[in-house]
Amino acid sequence: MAGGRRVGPERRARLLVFAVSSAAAATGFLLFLQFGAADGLDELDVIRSFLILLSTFWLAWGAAQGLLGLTTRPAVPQNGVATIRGRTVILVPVYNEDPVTTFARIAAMDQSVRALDTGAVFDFAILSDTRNDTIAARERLWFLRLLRDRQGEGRIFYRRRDRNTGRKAGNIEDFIQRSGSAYDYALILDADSLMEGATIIEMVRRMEADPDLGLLQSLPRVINARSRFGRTMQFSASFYSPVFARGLAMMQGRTGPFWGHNALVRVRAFAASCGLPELQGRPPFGGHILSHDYVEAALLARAGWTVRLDDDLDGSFEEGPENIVDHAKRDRRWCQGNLQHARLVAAPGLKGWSRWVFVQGILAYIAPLFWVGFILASIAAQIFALPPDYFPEANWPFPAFPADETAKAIGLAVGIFGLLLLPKLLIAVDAAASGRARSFGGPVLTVMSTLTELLLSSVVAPILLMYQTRSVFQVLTGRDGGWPTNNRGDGSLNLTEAWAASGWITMTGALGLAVIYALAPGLVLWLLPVALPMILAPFVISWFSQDSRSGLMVVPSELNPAPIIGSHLEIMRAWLDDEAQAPASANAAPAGAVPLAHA
Amino acid sequence: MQRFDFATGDVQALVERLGRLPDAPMAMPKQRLERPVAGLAGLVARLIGRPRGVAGDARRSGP
Repeated sequence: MAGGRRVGPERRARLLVFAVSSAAAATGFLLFLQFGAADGLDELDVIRSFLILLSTFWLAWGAAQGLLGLTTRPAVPQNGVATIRGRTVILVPVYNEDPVTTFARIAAMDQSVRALDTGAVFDFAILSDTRNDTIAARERLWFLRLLRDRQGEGRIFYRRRDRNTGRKAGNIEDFIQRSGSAYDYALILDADSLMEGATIIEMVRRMEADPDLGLLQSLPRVINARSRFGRTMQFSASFYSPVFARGLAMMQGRTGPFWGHNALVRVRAFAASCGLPELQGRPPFGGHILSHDYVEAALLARAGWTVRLDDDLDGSFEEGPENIVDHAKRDRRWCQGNLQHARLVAAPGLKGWSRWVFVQGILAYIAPLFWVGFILASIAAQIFALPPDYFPEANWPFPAFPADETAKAIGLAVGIFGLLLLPKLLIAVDAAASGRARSFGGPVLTVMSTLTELLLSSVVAPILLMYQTRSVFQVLTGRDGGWPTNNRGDGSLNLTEAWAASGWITMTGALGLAVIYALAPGLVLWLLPVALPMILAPFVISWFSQDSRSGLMVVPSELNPAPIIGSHLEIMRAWLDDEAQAPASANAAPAGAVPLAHA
Repeated sequence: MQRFDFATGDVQALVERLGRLPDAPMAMPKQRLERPVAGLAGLVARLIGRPRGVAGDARRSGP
């Protein structure tokens, strides 16, 4: 199965990134220790130095990954096979989604694949875990419409499970146990995934060309964002993510990622390696594995299969949350899933990199707590600080001034902000120099968009920090977040709705600032950039959820939309027009389904 | 495309028939992810009645 191993380049990349991150962390640690020691080293200085060490390592790890991505080029894709022999099924798990939007995506993808006339089998399977009976009734009716429009009987399937055991992973597993032998490859999508037929076919060709390849992940770009928050995320995903993904691809080698969707799996490899057990104990740490994708990637690698991210593949899309609250809800689920991986870090037989991926996922949620801890420790340090002793030696007439270490503190702050900002700024400079900026509206617009994104993400960051902190505490105190339905479409929130979701952040920020003002007024100015967005959270959330009318942060999918995006919109519009003319009942047949019935 | 009649109202049966997945089962054995708890920790776990560290479903793995 597994062929010759090419471990050299990724080992070098990992060592380089680890060395750079460790050096940055050690520098931060020592600088802060010296700064703290200026007026006498105490326990709080040591605690804060360690928190700086951990936080800086994590920031530097991300920055170094970005820089690695900037200094390398995408791997030359392998030549895929000319004729596809294998059978492919495109799996679309749905869970209380709008069937019109979702099934229109399937129609568009089917149209796109069939237009290329490969002669190969590309079936679709809609795997419904929908719990809402009204939505399920609509799913059935729109499935008939989909069948009619695409002449899809015998190649577009639909089934709804009675019980959604194991959630999405259980849904896929149920399909494989029922129908896996009928297919060689399965393209796993999310309900909001959209992929060009050419991309799907190219992925199958690449998998056929490499018999060791167990999973091929594409890099989905966020599309169709309308709100200020959505477009900020969309720009970030389109502009920065490919560079960071390239850095990641350099480090991971054969132990690549699986992000749960827009990825092709070899069915027999997946079936043999990825049956997920239920973890003993109750949620949030026990029960079904929530973030199954990371675990499945690790299990495929454990079994000797290659898991690869091909970041050169275009034509792979998804949609994102349109407001901060929906983002936080999704993040709550991811937080629980990632922290649950703490149970699996020591799972037998995993590759070292897979274990590190689990640790990274955990750090992604724990690291913000280091900053919260640092802020709290700094407030405590101010409160308990002793006044400087200018005459430490008795009977000595000359004062001894403490060493001025302000320059070191400023240097440290600049370094930390540098780690946050520098990779993004360098990506903008690289895009302007390489011509990549053209697809983002040209160099000037790209640089302005980058600066705008930096500003907007700085405003949002403290609010996300609070949501993330709450999520971590909820998980650690044993509260299961369940499996909330994703909100899609228009996500605009008025002030009342925003207050309901973030009033606690406002109160925390206001109370925190008042306490700091009373106890350590010297810190107020320093903490305003964190406290102000918290206090204004409802306004920030509501403002970010409104439609963006700015010409900034344009992305290639807006300037030059991929054909599949246009097809999807066209089909959806036609269907919605038909629905508007049909009787307004959940059980009414969509226009178009009835002619099928009586044709 | 087969004929069918919405008038019967049994859309569900119709969808089940038209949308039926291929009947081609494949085994998906459960994987072992947790180490068995050995030593004192295992003894304590057994004493308080918790199952051993191997995930429950893993023992039911196989086709």
